[in-house]
Amino acid sequence: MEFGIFFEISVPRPFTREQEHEAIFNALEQAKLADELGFDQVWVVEHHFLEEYSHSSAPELFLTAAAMQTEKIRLCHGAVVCVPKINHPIRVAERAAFLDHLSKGRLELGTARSSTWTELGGFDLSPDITKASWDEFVRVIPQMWTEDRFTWQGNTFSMPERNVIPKPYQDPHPPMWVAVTTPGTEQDAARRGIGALGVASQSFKQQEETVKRYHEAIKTCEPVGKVINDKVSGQNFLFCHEDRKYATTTGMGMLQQFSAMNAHQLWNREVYPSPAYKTLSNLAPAKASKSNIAKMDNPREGRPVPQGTCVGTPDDIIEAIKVWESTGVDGINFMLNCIETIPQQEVLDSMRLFAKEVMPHFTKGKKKQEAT
Amino acid sequence: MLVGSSDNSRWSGVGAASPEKSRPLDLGHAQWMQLTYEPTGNCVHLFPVGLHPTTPVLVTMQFWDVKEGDLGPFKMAQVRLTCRAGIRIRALTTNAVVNNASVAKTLAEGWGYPENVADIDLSWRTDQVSASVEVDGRNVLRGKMDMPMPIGVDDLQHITSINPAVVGNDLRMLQVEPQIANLGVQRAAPDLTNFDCDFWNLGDHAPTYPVIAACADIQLSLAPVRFIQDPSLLAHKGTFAVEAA
Repeated sequence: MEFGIFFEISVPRPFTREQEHEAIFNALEQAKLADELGFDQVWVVEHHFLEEYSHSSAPELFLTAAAMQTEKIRLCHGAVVCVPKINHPIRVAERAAFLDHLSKGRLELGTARSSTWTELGGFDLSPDITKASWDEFVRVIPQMWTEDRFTWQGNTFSMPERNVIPKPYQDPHPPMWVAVTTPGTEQDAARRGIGALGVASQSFKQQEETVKRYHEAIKTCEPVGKVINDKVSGQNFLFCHEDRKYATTTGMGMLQQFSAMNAHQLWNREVYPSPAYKTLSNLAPAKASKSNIAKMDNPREGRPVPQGTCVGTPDDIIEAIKVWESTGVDGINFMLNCIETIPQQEVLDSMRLFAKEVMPHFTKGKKKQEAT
Repeated sequence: MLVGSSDNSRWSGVGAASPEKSRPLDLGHAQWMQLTYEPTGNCVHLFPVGLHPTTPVLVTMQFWDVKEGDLGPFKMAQVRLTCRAGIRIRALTTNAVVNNASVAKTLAEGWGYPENVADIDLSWRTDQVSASVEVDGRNVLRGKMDMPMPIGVDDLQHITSINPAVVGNDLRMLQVEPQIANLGVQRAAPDLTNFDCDFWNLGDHAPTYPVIAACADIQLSLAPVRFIQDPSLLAHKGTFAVEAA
């Protein structure tokens, strides 16, 4: 089981320059500590115009800063929006390769297509084309990374023959992922030989089936790159504290804030009729388990913790991770804070306690990237 | 979370409603069109503090041409602003008109629609669907969609309305839930050629940036109002069930 952290870089209202600055630098400090504590990955999302929810519009810059102050942790784009008006594929390949050098081969490239009208409308984009452009991106970027002369005549972009430089530091190239927020996208990932980042909200029983089907499908994939990334990771929240009541109140505050803000995004599905978005693609909150409801001293003091959510004492979190482990996921990426509801020192203490008391219970079953 | 900034005085002119008297209405087959635009400027002050404006707010101009059903044939036009009550997507009605005084009265009494009568035209051709609204001979809205193309019936999601009205002695937001089954859906770019911001209560926030237009053949019914909201409170604190009369 691998453990990562991920950042939306949410900023509380009313917005001030100082608030944004603090949120960015708190996240950088957490990334540095995560590296020291032995976390495996730091993921940074790419979003645009999503006020309060995510001010992370330039993740490649954040990851560059993180690369300069870390040694081992993998630096992960989580994920690049693969639509030409937002990110031209040549620029994605160039920036990623450059960052791979700066981090001495620690880059992983997540891909996505955006699900909100706020973002796609902001770039004057039709939601209809995003799936098609994503598919072209994931096919051409590995070629740009590995071929000396590359040309493309596509549906969403074309280019004459050029040498896209620099080539990545990792040979043949960094692992690729796709952010999964819609059921079925994990199958798209499997068929292309790329990792599934997150699993669309569903029960753990369904997740187990989803992961199983992913691993079955990837055995017969037609890889888009020179390496197959056959990992599936889950998304979670982390607040670890010796005092269960405090952990629950604090951690659930974060979870509720995130869930509410996520639900408040203006999803394409809601306002733009299109066959390209059959679901909202949001991150619906999980439900509390009966055992967790029973654990609460007084349910009125806070909402019970949904099953598998890593909020609680170290023992609670070990139990939660075992639920995830049983589904077959290879790793979990944790959100550590939301609109700075948890003081920075408590976030750092939570990470330290997790590393000391929880991490040792789980072996690092790291799979090698399979060369094709 | 972003919330509206207007106090109740913004809705001082709205009519009275008795949501407990609303009853199920089968409106039968209808033709439906909606033009969606982004308005200029920060629209937060167009919402009460109990609602969350979406980012961005969208203006939807919606037209019904009801052919049959419990109220007989009528046409309706309504302008709404997207928002959320709690986490659920809603659209706040800023004004509405009906081309039949009796129907306007029924919809106002039970569901809190503004009781306005106007001449409404919804013209449905293969190459163009267009609509216009005239009040006392003055055009207040004209728009169209050219060359609509079919999409799947499940590709169009309808948004529940929030209608401000006085219930008893208090301003309330009525949650109005048309039940709409899409029989056929088409889509095109919207083309708005006239819009009277004052009439539709949008102030300086003219719909300027085109988003999308859709038209549909639908089966329409209107459910009784189940919930009303105190506009000065967020939905989770200020939503109340309507007791049937």
